[in-house]
Amino acid sequence: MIGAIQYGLGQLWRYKKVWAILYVVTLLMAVLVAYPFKSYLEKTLGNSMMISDMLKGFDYTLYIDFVNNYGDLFGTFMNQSFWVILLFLILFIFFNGGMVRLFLDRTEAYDSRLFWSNCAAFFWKFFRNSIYFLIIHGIIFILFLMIYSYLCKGFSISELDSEGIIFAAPKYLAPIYILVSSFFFMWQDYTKISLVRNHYKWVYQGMFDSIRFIRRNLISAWGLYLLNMLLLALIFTINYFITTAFEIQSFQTVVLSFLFAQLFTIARLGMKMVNLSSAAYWYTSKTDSDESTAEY
Amino acid sequence: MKVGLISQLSDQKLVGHLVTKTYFSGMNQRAVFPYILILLLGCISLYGQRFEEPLSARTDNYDIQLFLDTDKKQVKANQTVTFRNPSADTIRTMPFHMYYNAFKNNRSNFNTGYSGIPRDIPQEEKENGIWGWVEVLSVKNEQGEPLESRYIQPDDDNVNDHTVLEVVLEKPIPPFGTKTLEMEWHSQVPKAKARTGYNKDYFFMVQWYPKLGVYEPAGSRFAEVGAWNCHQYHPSTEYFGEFGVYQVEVDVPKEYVTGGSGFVLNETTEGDRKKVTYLAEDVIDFAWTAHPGFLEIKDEWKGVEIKLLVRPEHECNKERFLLSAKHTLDFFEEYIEPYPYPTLTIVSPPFYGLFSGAMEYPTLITSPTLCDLPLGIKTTETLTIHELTHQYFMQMIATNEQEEPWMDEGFTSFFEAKILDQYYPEGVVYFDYFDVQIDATEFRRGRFMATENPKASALSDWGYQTISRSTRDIVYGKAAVGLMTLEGLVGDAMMKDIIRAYFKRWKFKHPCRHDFLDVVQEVTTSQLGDSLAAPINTFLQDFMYSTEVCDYSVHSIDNFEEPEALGFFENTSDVRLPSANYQGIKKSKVVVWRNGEFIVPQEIRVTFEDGEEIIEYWDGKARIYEIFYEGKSNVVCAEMDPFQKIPFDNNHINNSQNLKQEKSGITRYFVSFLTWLENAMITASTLV
Repeated sequence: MIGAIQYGLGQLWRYKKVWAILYVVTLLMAVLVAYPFKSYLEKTLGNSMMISDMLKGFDYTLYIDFVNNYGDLFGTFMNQSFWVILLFLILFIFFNGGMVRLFLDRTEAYDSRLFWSNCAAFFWKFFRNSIYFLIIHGIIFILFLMIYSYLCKGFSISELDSEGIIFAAPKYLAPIYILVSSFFFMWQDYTKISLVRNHYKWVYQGMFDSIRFIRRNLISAWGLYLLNMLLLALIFTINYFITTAFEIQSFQTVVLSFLFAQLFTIARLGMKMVNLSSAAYWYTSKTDSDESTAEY
Repeated sequence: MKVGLISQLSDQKLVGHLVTKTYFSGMNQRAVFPYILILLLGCISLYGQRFEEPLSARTDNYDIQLFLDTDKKQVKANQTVTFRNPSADTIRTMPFHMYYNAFKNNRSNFNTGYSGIPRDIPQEEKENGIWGWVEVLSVKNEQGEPLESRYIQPDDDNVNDHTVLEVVLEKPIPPFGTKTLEMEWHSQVPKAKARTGYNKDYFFMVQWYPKLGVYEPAGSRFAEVGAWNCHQYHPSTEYFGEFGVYQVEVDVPKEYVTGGSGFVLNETTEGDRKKVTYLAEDVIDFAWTAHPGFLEIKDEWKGVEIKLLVRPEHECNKERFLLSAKHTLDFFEEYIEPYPYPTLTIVSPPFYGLFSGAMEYPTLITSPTLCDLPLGIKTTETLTIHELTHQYFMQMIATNEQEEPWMDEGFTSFFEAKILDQYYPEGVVYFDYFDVQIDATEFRRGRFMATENPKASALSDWGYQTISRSTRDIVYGKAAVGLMTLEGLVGDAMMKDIIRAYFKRWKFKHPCRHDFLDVVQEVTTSQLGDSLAAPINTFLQDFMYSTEVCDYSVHSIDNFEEPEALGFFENTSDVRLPSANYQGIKKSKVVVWRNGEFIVPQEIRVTFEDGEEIIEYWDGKARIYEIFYEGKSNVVCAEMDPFQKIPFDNNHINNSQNLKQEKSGITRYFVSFLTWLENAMITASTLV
């Protein structure tokens, strides 16, 4: 498993152009909404001396007065953010096809034609795959919410003996949920890999193939996925310590915080690629060895 | 220490014309003789067992023996009420609050108000659980003769509202006379209703007994003739009570832990029941609670016994309760005067008892908490401080909460913020990770400013008649922010003088808003003089009677050179043309606006390019006010209310202008929003 992750990290570096594309797309789409927001702030607050309070961080008085007096467009920005996120999801589905092909073919270097053509080729299959798994993730999430609600007696104040269960239950349920849902996220990734590798016409064929693969290699495949999640958690922890380590008090520190935030964004995107490439590596190495065993 | 805006004016010339007005000087006309007499009568009270001298007039005195049936959730009781006529009037009836009857049917004023019976309550519960009532079985006079009684509706014609019972006296009470009634009554405790009732094994017994109204002699508060003040129970407001002594014997199953107003006089156990007798002196009400799951934690503050009744799962927060209570007591000892009662009981209800809310009763308060409440959220401290502050503003200064709810909630919220900011400088909400730090004063202001309709009602509107979602924010928030602004105008020291004078004059009595205005006027006039006190009184009038908003802004800053004089002047033959070496005088103009109807004197800090700062004073009356400078360096920024003395201004953002845009703050928000959006996109992409 460690080898697979090492391999994934190698692939990440090899296909750093894809990494860069992902980052640039992410940044540009965020700027698409954030820049008008900045212009709006400049127009409404630009000359107020309260801006210095903004530098210190969240200022409640400024927030209240802003929302009360200039908050009409606030909802518009939130609305825009929602649509941008949705657009990003569709773009990400698009990029998945190209990424999986690169990771499976293991070309010496980034092959632009191969990447973009496979992005287009697998878009609709991956789109359907995403819809199916969104339903599955939704069901799992609702199931856990129902268990939580059951444990908390429907959050009824008059029925609960103590509110302790409301706080205690997530401590047990959340890790179980992460474990269970990670299985389905892993299944989703292996379905993408299977669809590209086996050129299946129908998404369900990929889903069946990948679940067969997972059944044969449950511990190693799931273990690898969890290991990747652990690495992501490590990145989050480092980011937490960095962001709380210094206070933003000047323009320079604002720039520094921006750079750290971008590093974090790049690292998160990188981890997504590492996760997919290590899974692709695991899938090919295991299925290849199975096939060769079968031949003998 | 903040220096008052107005007090600084004593050395400054006010811009504009200030008119001195005297409002409500009727205080002198009120009869004080009855109060003196009642005080003397109180001194020989039979009830005084703890205070050497009564603190109040002790007009209504109760002796109650009750039996709590924890299975049927019913109370049976006998009570003796002794009333001393505080007036020269002859009184022929005695009205009693029957609060539990608010829950008797779905046509009571309470249940037809906005807190009506939820539709989704199952039929079985409607039949067996939710209704509550209190019924007087008999009323007898001193001779044991039965008296007639009937439900009345002093506020409207809703005959289905049985929350006021009038007892008709066969012999009127003579001026300054005494009347004793023997009453037998029983009640069905409602299930988890507003503040009171039961749920499972938790009983919170407030507004639980037939409680005599307040007799207001002519001249007191708004009374033109002597009359009872006994409103029906309305959903939007709280209570009003007369001072007296309560001796209450509570008979409950012995495993129940009890708490009550006052202190325990006696406790006996007999079989599986126990009787606890409480004595509460110089209080306006009596509240008690019983629950087998309470832990009793005792502490002490300068001779005051503090009892915390708390569930085991909340014991982890005991220091948060006790420390905040002690901070409050320390604060008021210094600011006004020491807490006079021998006990303080803090009830932290179980989760299923949250219906009892955070509430204030004489020497007993409720303050809910949660097991895992983060230290960065000061809810436990805020509620404890708020409810304990009510011991001063509600209990000792016993204003009418049904008519003027702002007079207890507003003062309490004002002091709550002061105490929290003094003892918890880290803020009432703080999270390091998000750089969130909100102090109590700005939190209280924010809650008012964010209310749905800040113009929904004026503070002078009768509380029980105003039903709006914003009423609460106005009563708590507007009043508190107004008092903060008053403090900003007069300064910390004078504000303390005002509160002390108000408290000294009105403790253990029933003041109204006029009485507070009188005190402010007296103190400000004596310390500042008529002309400087006038704008303060104008502000208070607007604050109390108006629904308008306060908003001042810096409109523009202009730096320019005076243009050369060109054209014809002395005659039409010699024209003045531009000269090559003309050097105009440098001038600057700062324009400020009054955008709202509310008028508050203003300070304006003007900063020049060479670093010089000038504080200008403006009476705040004109719609547009221009300040000119000549021969100075350019003005770079102007700021109204630079020392944040006027939190009442509803937009601090437009209070200042800086010609040089300082964009770092906006860049920070831009970066934060950008980063948040990036992370949201990446997180969402996990799904595909």
